[in-house]
Amino acid sequence: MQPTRRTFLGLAAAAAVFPTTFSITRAQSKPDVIRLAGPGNAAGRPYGNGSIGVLRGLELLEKEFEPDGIRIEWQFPRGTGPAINEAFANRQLEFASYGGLPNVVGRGAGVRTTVLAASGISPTYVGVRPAAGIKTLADLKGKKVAFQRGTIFELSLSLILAGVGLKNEDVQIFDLQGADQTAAIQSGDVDALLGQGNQVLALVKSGLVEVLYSTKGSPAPGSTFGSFTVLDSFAEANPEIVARVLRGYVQASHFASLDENREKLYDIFALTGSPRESYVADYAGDDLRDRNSPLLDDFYRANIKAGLDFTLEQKLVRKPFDVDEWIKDGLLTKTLADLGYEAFWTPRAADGKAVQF
Amino acid sequence: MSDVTFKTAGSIAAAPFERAAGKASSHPAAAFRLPRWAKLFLLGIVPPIALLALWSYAVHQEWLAEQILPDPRLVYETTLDLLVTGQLPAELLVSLGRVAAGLALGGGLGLFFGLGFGLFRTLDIYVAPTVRAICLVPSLGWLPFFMLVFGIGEGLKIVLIAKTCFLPLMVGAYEGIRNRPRKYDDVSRALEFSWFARVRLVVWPSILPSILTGVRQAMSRGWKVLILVEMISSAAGLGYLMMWGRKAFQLDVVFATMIVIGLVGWALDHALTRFQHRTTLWSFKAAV
Repeated sequence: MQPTRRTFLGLAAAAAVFPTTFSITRAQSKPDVIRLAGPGNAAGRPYGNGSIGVLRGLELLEKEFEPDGIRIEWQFPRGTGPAINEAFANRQLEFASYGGLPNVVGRGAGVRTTVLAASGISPTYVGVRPAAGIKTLADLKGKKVAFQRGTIFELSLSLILAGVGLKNEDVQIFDLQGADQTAAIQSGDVDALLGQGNQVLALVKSGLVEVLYSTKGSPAPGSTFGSFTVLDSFAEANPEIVARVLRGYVQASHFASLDENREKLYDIFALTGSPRESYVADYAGDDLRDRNSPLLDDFYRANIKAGLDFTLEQKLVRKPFDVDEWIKDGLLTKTLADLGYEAFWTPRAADGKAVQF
Repeated sequence: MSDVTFKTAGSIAAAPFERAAGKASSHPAAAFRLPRWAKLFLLGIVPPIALLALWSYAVHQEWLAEQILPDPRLVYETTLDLLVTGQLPAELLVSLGRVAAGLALGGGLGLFFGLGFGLFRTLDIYVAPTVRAICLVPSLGWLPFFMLVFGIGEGLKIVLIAKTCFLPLMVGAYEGIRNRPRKYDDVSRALEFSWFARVRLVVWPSILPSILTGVRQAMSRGWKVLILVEMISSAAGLGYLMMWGRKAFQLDVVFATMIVIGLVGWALDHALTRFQHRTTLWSFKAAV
């Protein structure tokens, strides 16, 4: 057909009318599925670390909701936090436990979520290529550093570098995912990488990197933190389900905080495909209660506020929001009381030290 | 950016509107007349305007979350902001530099091989199939290997773009030589040209249109693969800006980048088409 102006304009008019012929309905009824997410791993397996990993590994929610006929779906996207934000915005998720920085970025961009509990903390490791000649943190100046951008490591790097008077702009940042980081270290294209224990320590074991610095064993700035959040529209429609999910989450945190479960924890975490030994080394000597505390204490709030300040400064978030309104600890307090865990975890002050009573 | 050849693009663009314009002028009701260029312009901006309207409508109706499909006005503001702060021009320059380097390297090699295969039958029989087979593995398929060999630095990007630009120019030069009308040779023989004069005055002009088409295709494909490779591993460039926008959950930055990528790609293609038309105008008019 030869396109004439008439047919062309006719088609254009038809295209303009088309959108009015349908609309998307968002019917709200009792859900038949609950979708949860956690940060993905290099191996791409649908398992996770920390409390969310335990919740998944022990299948607490699957057992809890079986009588209701509600399915549980898990997502552990490789794109980690930023991908979880997208899923939230698209209403493809109800709950997620992920890094504090994408948490804040997502909320700052207007994704309506509420914080139910903390994800716990995990040390950040700076691994360097032995041949790169980096002996101190100050040597990182001008070097090539790899991590996944838009994640909590953005903030970790900033805090770690601040300790030696450097900024993120003083190093060359390469935005690479897990497997690509390994390749880049191997080929000598990047000099250092930032990550959690399971990733960096696995590379240490294979001889590719040495640990230059880690925030392990201290509330030193730069450890990763995160939040367990729920989509507001879901929470408003299904408050009872939210309470039950949070109960399961706190039980998982409790399980992950008991030293008698240490070996079982490593087994569960190893399901992610990261070597079990890397978890053993990462957790060695740490009090599990410190690592997996769900408390929304002053330490958690201080971390989130530092995250918000950083994202505002980096223009990752354009307008500030009220952190205290976002973090709702009422349900957590009630859940802890119901389960009899009020005194199990010790709240920490803003500087990370335990609050003295 | 389209891969259509010039002849089809030209005929589609010119024919219907001329006909439509002719009809309108003979119509008695046409009291006032717009100049022809204004009519063409008005018709030309209908699709972008319609797209913009659909976009605004979709945002207004919240078909998608505002974080996923940003308001066009926000995208406009972001684009202006990125332009004013100089970030967008800076990333664009980086990207253009990479394409230029890749095109020069890959295109040059492609031209060299294409001419070689076209001129020497032995090479064509024994070497060309291997080269073509290598080229037919998509650039993305080469990426993991290239990453290990060339690392993730500037080298990787230029090599990957060069690889993409290689094939169109090789094929362009080769086809140009192969499909050259034989009667041109008869003419040059009759005129008793020297070898040099034959190449300069007959062979080169006769394969130039085919080569320029190759350059356009190479540029178009190189531009696309550039964005891809910048998205995978980079610390600068348009693809990087786009990826960063996504990571920062600022889809308006992603949209702004997409628009710039599209416009710049179109402008490059358009400029090359004009250049091709100007330098080898005879090839569009001459009856072969």
